[in-house]
Amino acid sequence: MNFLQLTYRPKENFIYRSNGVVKIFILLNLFIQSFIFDHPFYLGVIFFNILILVLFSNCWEEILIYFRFMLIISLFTFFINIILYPEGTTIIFQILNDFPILGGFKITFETIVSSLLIILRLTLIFLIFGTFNLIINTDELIQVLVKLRFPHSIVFIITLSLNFFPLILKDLERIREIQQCKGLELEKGNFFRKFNNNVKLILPLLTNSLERSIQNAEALEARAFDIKGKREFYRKLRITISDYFIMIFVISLLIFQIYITFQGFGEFIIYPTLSGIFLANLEYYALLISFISNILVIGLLYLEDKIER
Amino acid sequence: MIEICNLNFHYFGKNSEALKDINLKISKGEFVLITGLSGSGKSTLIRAINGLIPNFYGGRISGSVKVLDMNVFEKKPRILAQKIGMVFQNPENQLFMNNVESELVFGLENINLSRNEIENRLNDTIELLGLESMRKRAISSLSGGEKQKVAIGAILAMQPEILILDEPTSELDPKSAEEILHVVQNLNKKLGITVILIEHRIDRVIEYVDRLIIMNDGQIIQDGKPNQIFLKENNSNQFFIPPIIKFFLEIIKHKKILSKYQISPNHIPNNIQEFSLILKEFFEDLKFSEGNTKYFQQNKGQYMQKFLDSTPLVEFKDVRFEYEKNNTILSNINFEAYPGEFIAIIGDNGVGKTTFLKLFNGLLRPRNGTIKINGKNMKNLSVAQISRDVGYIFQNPSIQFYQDTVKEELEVVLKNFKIHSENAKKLLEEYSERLDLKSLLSIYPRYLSYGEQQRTALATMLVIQPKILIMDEPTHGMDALQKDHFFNYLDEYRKKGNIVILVTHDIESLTKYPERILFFSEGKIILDDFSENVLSHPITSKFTPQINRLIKNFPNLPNKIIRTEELLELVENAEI
Repeated sequence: MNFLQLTYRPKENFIYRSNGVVKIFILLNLFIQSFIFDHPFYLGVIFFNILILVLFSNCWEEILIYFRFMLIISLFTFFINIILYPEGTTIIFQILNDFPILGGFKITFETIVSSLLIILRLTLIFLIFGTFNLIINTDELIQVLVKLRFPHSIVFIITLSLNFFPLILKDLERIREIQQCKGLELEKGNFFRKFNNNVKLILPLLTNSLERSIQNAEALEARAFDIKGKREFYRKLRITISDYFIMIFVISLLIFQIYITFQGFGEFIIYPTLSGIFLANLEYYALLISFISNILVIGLLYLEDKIER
Repeated sequence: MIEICNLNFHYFGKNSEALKDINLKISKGEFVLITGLSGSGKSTLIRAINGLIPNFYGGRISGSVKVLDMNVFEKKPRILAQKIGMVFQNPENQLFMNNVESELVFGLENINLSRNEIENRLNDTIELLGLESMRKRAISSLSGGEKQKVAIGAILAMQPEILILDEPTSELDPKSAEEILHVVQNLNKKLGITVILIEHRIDRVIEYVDRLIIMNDGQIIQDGKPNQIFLKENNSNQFFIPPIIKFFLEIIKHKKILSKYQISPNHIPNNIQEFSLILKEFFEDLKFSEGNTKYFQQNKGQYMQKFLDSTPLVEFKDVRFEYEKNNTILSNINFEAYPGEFIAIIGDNGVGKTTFLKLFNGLLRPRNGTIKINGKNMKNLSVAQISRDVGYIFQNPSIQFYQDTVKEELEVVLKNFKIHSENAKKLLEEYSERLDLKSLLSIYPRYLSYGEQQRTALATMLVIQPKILIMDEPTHGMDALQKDHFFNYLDEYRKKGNIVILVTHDIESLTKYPERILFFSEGKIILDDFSENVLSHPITSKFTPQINRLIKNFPNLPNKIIRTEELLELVENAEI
């Protein structure tokens, strides 16, 4: 796997061409939505909205790699949640024997649903961060932070970590290769063996990163860098009227979503007993509005790109 | 411009002094080359000039360093950086921003110039270095040569009066290296910037420099015009003399030749053009016996005859590789290697050489075609399984060590390959002895010198006794002496019926050991032949050794000579 595929690489489409701040707003909106709603239908709509964004960005191949990571984490989360949080009233499997210390063991329908919802939400967060990594140019993010008057030291640390992320991934890939050449088995064997062997890559990564940081510090001195010194920023953020318009639209959409959650929309009760899955009529309308509005935002980006070009 | 008096420096925690009694004056506009064996103090000296010593690296220091009338010890690096620009060896560790333009202005933003001034300087730098086409490109999309050019640009934008470059071409192919050196030469000649360059591969740079400084054990042992230095009969110079100059120094020992062709022994030519002019008549007059076919190399068919009875250890059949769909990196690769071969791979950066190497042990898997190693199809074998037969050494040895001692490095490999403890002990003993590592077994591997690290990396692979040894740029960063030792180990290993395959940009090393060379271009093997045939071929002109470049100016001479010794032998046997 090429880890570098998971970072920003410019592509020729309207999503990549659009203003970074607007894209940050759109992703932030989706991120907040994935936290304020509990109902699987609402979360499902957010999921589709992200997929549409990914599709238009033409980065679905990269997102599939994130999905592979997600699959492992999901399985892990699912079983841990079922074992450690056996709440709920609808028991589908039970061992009554009292084990010493551990006690009995049961699996409830509510726990399974709750675990699936956790996985769905985690997937959403993963997808949003993945898309963020893929479509936002780090320079744009920095410009946003500068515009928001973040202290230079913080902006620089963020710049450095973002720009060095691909290098660290490259390092990790290299260490993987080196360790395999030294006979460390990372491809064959059971899951635990592979997991254990993969852990052995972390320490070398730290050693290499520390060594790199010394060389970086030296190079920074040669570039007259002073964390406390006064400095100028050559590129400043440019936001057009149409950008402002889309951002206002996104904010309004977010306010609408927050409002409807206060009205009890998007709620889903799991414990102690699962509530019905179906929504009231009005809630379906709200769901539809959410779905269409999120797509409309993408449409607006497309329109803006058409006008500007 | 630069005045160093009685400079001594001692790093904390080190037993010996890194710099001893350095006295040095460098004038404005000079192009100075500093060279010397690894650990001789070159890097420490340049860091003392730009204030990184003592401001960044602590230690015990005495003497004085004055640059542009500033006392370097008292000035902040931020102030010094505006006058003394420094470009480091690895471009990746000195670039901080996402795209070329942001990188070029980073230093200017740091010194708080106005946006107008930044824009002017940015445009000047782009024009000067011809960076317009890559102005908006992401740093991650640049090749090694392009990255180094941007790193130089980022320093130049600050308009320094002195430019210091620490092995700036060590990671580049000959073509990119030449480009970078031309840029630096223009800066020196046209803008009058003082240039101080550290370099091991003297043949690459000697024609550009006005002054040569050779260091040894923290001291300057030679300082002067390159010609004067090379003329001195001095053992310490032997590792630094480029091949054509070595040849000239031998020629001037023949009084008869000197008087007949009116060659002045004191005027050593700097480059091949000058050389050809001085020796024109002499070379044109050279007549060698027609029957002497020694200098007309055989073709590959003849070379392969010696393997008629052997089975290939490596077989690539119609191999194609791509990282992403429709982006073929390697295609139509057909290749066989036999026990006892020493094969080198050459080509520009980014033509698929490293990709080819990684196919040998499964680090990359072919999209089509088959690869057999030691008779086994490696399709379903893991890298760890294939590594029993194929040892792989990466470019930078230090990143390959993760244990606390050299001994543990070797033990871990033996353990990973499940080698029985009695046998493991024997192998550890044998290879630490053979590679001179006995006294280093308890040392932290990253503290070792470059040559020692490379030997340790070699030992970690050899202890498992692979049949094939693959190396990516193993001589990168090695001095001439270390290279000699290293190649001797490799030669000894392949003579036991093993195969050595290496990628290298080090042209002069190519003339010494590999019998067979593959030339890669655009993901294909374009030439696969005897070293002499490949290195003297017109399409490998960027990789042609100095001696062959010289020979090619004289059609009457056998055009496949690539070594100084061969040319000398030819002269000895010719009628003059």
